[in-house]
Amino acid sequence: MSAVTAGRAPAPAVSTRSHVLRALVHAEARRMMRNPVPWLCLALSVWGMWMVVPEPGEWPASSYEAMNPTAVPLLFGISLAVAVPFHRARLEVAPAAPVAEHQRVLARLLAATLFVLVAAGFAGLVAWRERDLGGLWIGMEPGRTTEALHTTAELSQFVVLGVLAVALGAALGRRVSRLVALVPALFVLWFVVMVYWLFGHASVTPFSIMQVQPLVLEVGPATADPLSFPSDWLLVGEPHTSGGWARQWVSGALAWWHDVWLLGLAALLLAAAWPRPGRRVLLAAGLALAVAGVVGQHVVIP
Amino acid sequence: MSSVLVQAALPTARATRWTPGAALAGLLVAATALTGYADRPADLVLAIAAAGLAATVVAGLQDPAAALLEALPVSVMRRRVLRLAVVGAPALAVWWLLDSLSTAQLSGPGPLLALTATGVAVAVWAPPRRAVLLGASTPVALFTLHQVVPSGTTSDVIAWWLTDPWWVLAAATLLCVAGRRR
Amino acid sequence: MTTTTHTATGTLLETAGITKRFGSLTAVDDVDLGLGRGIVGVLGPNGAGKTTLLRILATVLAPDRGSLSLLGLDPASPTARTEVRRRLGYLPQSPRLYTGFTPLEMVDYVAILKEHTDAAWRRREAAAVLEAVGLGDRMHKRIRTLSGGMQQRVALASALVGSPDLLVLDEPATGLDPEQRIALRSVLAETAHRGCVVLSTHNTAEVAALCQHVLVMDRGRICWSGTPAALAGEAEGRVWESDVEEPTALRSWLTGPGTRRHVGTPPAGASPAVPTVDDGYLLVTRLAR
Repeated sequence: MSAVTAGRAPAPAVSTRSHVLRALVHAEARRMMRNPVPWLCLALSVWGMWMVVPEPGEWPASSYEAMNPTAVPLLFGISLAVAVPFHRARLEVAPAAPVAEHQRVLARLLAATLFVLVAAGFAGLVAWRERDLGGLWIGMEPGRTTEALHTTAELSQFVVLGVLAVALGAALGRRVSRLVALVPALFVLWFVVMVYWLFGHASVTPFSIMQVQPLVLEVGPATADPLSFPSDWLLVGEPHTSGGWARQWVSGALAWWHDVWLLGLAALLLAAAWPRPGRRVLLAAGLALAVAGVVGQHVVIP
Repeated sequence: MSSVLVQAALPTARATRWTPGAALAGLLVAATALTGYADRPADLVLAIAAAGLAATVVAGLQDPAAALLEALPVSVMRRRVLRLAVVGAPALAVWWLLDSLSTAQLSGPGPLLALTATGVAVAVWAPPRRAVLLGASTPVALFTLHQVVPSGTTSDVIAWWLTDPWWVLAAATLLCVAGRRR
Repeated sequence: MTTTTHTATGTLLETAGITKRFGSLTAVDDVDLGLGRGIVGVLGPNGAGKTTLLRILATVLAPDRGSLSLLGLDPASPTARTEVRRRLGYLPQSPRLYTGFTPLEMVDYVAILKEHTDAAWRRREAAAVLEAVGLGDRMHKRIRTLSGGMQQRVALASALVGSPDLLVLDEPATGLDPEQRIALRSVLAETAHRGCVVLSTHNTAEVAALCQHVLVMDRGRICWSGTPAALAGEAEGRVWESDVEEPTALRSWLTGPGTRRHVGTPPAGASPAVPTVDDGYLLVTRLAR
């Protein structure tokens, strides 16, 4: 050890709160972006998405449905990368420093928004890829077959899922005592989400985490005349249904309401990572959004 | 020596954090129940369950008091076996519960045991500082690669934990035995 | 007991009747202090309330009762507390470090938390304090690869960053080798020229060598206050050595050569030994009970 003051310049004037926040966000973002896991997971997601190519004789909307779950590795990677700094923050470092805990949490969350931008970039890539493929086959009836592209509302789900992934990582990182326990927890949470048809039943569809459209709605028995149905319906019949006629239903409104539900869930999860003052606001806002999202979806589904 | 392990089982169980595993089991039971509700086969959910439970069991190898216990006469491998038994038994029970709830073709604990043994083998041979983290990540990585890698030889090799789980279990167990002094 | 050490330069730290309870346990009981520039050592047995007192002085804990003034400000008000924290350095008893960081990254991070946003200044400052604690050549290694003593010095550097006017250190010499302990004294002595350093320790030799003032705590109260020489002086004529146990001794212990050293009321004919700070400390803590 040597003289403390040797070679030291006096501290500059005290900074404003926004300057401090910016410096913290910068420091946190630099560390988060250095984590290789989300980038490896992004590579897996892009690879999986690239492998989705419509094939002759495939199940109606098979490739259309397969697009969304390809984001799961990326979402898992985002959650894991965000969980690390939140888990690190379980240690009380510089407890007597002037920057309060809620500012530190806010800085971490703002730094993590870079991953939301990555999710938005992935959504853009999906949109570009679908156009490059000339759309994805969604229907089967002669005269009603169509090549479809995901709507903006559906693509927005990738961005909102990115927000949810950040919130989930923050919540689990803050609450789970051992970092190693986060790996199976996040894996199961996100990969169960990948099995989107678990939420295929109409009563549980509004509660899905990853909503994959089109929804299949039963419209009539096998004996019904398909020409009697409205001409804008995308019909599906046997052997692709368990009997009778169904229609493939895509709805922008449903996707937007689903986004509201996901934002509600994200706010509820963030409440678990936020320090006590302000937690109630997040809980209330999250609950309101989640309920609104579920009710909205119920109203929209025919 | 075995009586030592038996007596150490209860304190080891008390030192284990059960909440994350219990939450995971609850989630998997709910997901398996939903497969019945959706009237779809549960193979994929059971494969996820195998990887998730295996990762949880391997994560249970992390011992916060490892440095303190290093110089004790009970070897590190015996302590690993004890931890695996303590965490593995409930994991197997959860697996059988999921299996009985589902109508999956993928049946029996083979994939779970194969993935667990592979994870443990990685944890035994990996650098000590990240051993358990790498071991717990192994089942997860194998499952993810199995989902993403297109059909072919590589994909077939990655899927051995599903197609030939008992061989994988035997090979991984041999690796663990070979690294018993690590 | 009111303890005052302030000089003509004024009081930097003042407490009046501060009390802190945890359930039925009174960890700090009615403590009055008035400290100015210099180094103050807090001695006391385990559970005496040293750490709680230091956490209160570091604004980490709020007292249940009593008033507190740090650097002329009342930390009960959030605005004043933030202002105090800008000028405060605190080393907890078990400092937590992000072991995946390098020392430079760690100190830089703490500097941000102390609201220093000029990145270039921060880097220079972090490098300078790490140099000061003797980690100049290790500042780019991961903290987890450093020895316990080096990690303690990273924590100390984090407390020193930004040239604080009030330095609160809970057992700063833990894990340091003798050479580093001596170096620590110079670092703290320099800080004490411009501000107040309060440190707790179990090492009475450390106190004798470093502190201008000593507080002895027991059961949450300050049971003795004065200079290290005065603490040793408390045992003047009340320390003696013999080969047998002495019933009149308040404390007895075996020394290296095999004789017994006693503090208390010496029997007739006993030849008094030269008292040390250790003797004085043992005597005052025993008499306080």
